[in-house]
Amino acid sequence: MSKTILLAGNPNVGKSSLFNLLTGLKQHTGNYEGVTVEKKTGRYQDYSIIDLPGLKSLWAATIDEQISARAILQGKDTSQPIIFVVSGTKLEEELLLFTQIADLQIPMILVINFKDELAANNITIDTDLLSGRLNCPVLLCNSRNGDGLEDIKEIIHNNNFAIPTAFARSHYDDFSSGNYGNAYEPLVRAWVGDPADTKPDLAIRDLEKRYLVIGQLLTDTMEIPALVEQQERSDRLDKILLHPFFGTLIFLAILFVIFQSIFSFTAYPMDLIDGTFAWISGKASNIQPTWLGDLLSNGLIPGLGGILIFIPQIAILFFFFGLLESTGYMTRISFLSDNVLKRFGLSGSSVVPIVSGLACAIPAIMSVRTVERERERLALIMAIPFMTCSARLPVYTILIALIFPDEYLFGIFSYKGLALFALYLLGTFSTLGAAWLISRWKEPSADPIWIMEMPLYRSPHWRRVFSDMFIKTKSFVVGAGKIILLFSLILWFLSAFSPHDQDFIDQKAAQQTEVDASSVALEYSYAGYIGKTIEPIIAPLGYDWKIGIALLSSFAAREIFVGTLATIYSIGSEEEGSVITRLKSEVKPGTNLPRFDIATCFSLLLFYAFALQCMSTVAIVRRETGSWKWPLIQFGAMLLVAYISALAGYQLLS
Amino acid sequence: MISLNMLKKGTLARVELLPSDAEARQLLLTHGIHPGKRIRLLQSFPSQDLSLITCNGRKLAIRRADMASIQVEPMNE
Repeated sequence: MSKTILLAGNPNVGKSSLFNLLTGLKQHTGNYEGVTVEKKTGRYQDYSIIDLPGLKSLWAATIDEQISARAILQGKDTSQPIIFVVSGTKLEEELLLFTQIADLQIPMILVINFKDELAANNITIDTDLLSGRLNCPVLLCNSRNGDGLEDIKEIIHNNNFAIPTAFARSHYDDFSSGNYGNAYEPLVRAWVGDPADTKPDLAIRDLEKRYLVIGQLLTDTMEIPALVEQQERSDRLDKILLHPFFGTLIFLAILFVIFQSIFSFTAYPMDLIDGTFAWISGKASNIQPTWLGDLLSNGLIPGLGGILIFIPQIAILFFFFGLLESTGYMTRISFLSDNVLKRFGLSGSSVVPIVSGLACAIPAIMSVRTVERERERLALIMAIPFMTCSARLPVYTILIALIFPDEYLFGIFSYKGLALFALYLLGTFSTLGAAWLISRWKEPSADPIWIMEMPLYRSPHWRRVFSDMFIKTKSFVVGAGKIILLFSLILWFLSAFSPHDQDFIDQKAAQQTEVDASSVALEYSYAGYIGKTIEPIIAPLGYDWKIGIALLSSFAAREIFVGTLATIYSIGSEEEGSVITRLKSEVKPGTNLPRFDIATCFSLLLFYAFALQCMSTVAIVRRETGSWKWPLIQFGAMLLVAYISALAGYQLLS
Repeated sequence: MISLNMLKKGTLARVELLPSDAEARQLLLTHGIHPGKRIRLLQSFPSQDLSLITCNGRKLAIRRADMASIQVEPMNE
């Protein structure tokens, strides 16, 4: 069995860049046992290297931190070596965690990253002296250009990790209270146990004590010029980028560029994917036996296409998030938004999950783990599914096209564009409203301290940006894809099979000459019967049994709606133009009134804006909250809001 | 000794007392703010109710309301 090495350290110390340098493309992502926290594992020679989520101390505050802390503590018994990464300009806080791990007596090396910034800030570190005092190899490196990487490889190759000096064992003896006489063991027990059972006092005493030790250590080994804290370039940029007016304006401009890119640059690749799958599907329909051709062309291939079509949008979104993160701008967005978000029981830390919700609720809910306050985490998990995710987009596009003209207000603003913008606003305000309600309900009075580090601005690390984009997109496609594919197959089965024999269906088709045979087959299929069963419940919203089937099938994933409508209304192609033409020509039985009139479309838009039609989201919420209680409350509440709004919308407009 | 939110822009100060609330105190400690540390108020953004401070070369954003619970002693440079 190959040996495992952990890469540990505080957030933003260049750990992942170092991981990429060491492992190249020999890496894969999975999940830590029982949770959805991403586990990045790579190979270097015979070693398996795990890139742990960043943490500041073994007194873990966030879920990500608890995962890292647990991984480190589990490695204690097997002496799993650790490459501990720090950024040279913030050694004091970052060595805090180092001293805690040292107390566990795990073999380590200390890598001081960003050596170029040490030079730029005139900071000198006596690495030999530091290494001697820590009793552990200390190396300088720069993960941005690989400088110093060979030294790290050599240590790994020669297995020159060393067990550092234990800090608590030698420095806790002078606690005079008597409660901490043998402080080391209670500390380890507290770290290994449930953080909720830990007395805060123990954590505070531990942290304060360690700072004294580290302070003395650094005084002896490091020279920092008096004014190093004035990071002038970052400060100059912050004067503009954090300015209440100009900073907000720049932020809005950046958001505008991101959304323009998501909707403009992706049109061609999305059409290409769509066209390719339509072509493959057409070819597959000729495969014999007929049932196999039908399964492939109407079930499996469209299902697969329905997942892969979102790759361009998701990839572009992850690219921009990676870029904003790697330049240090993401935290500035948090700064700019804090004042608004705190009115809804949230904080600036909520910005990343909320904005991510525009792409997909699944990675957005996963990113909530980095938020420190539990109340805020729950509010976000419950509220984020209201955000207008990319899966709502195809549904909105079709419904808007059915009721809004291709005209411009004042010759500039497209009515369709304004309608879409209004739906995005509705999604955002619903999210904030839901977050407010949850945070008031959960804990009405508590509002703990909020503090956030503003890292230095850095030029983007392109390799990391692209590698993260690739890994996260792949993870999304594989994760969400499985469930979409499964439901596509179930829907195909329910639509393709009937409790009646073929003669019965042929007879019915002969009686109903005004509709084509495939529509009749659908009506008497299992799906048709399900649609008719729920018709009395959905009729007050303006829907018939056919819309009912599309509605039900899209509870698996809302983007299935368009494909289902295409199938139900017997359209050979899923290309939007033809769907719209056919839907526009549909009339209500026995009348000449359009089936998809303004009232029905508004009702559908409201239903899709509020309902939680995404089984993957339900599954993620279950895993992140650790119980079925919250996803069930969320599903029920969102369904209720969706039903009432759709009912009100239809009844008012019809 | 004054509250951190009373500190003038650009002034250096020494942290004297942290809030008594254990959760807040632990959070500040993990961000490197503890008694004896030197802290500087970089900029205030009253309309956003936020301030930027530096401590140990780290730039930190903190709400002005939360700053009131940290006691500091202004220092001469």
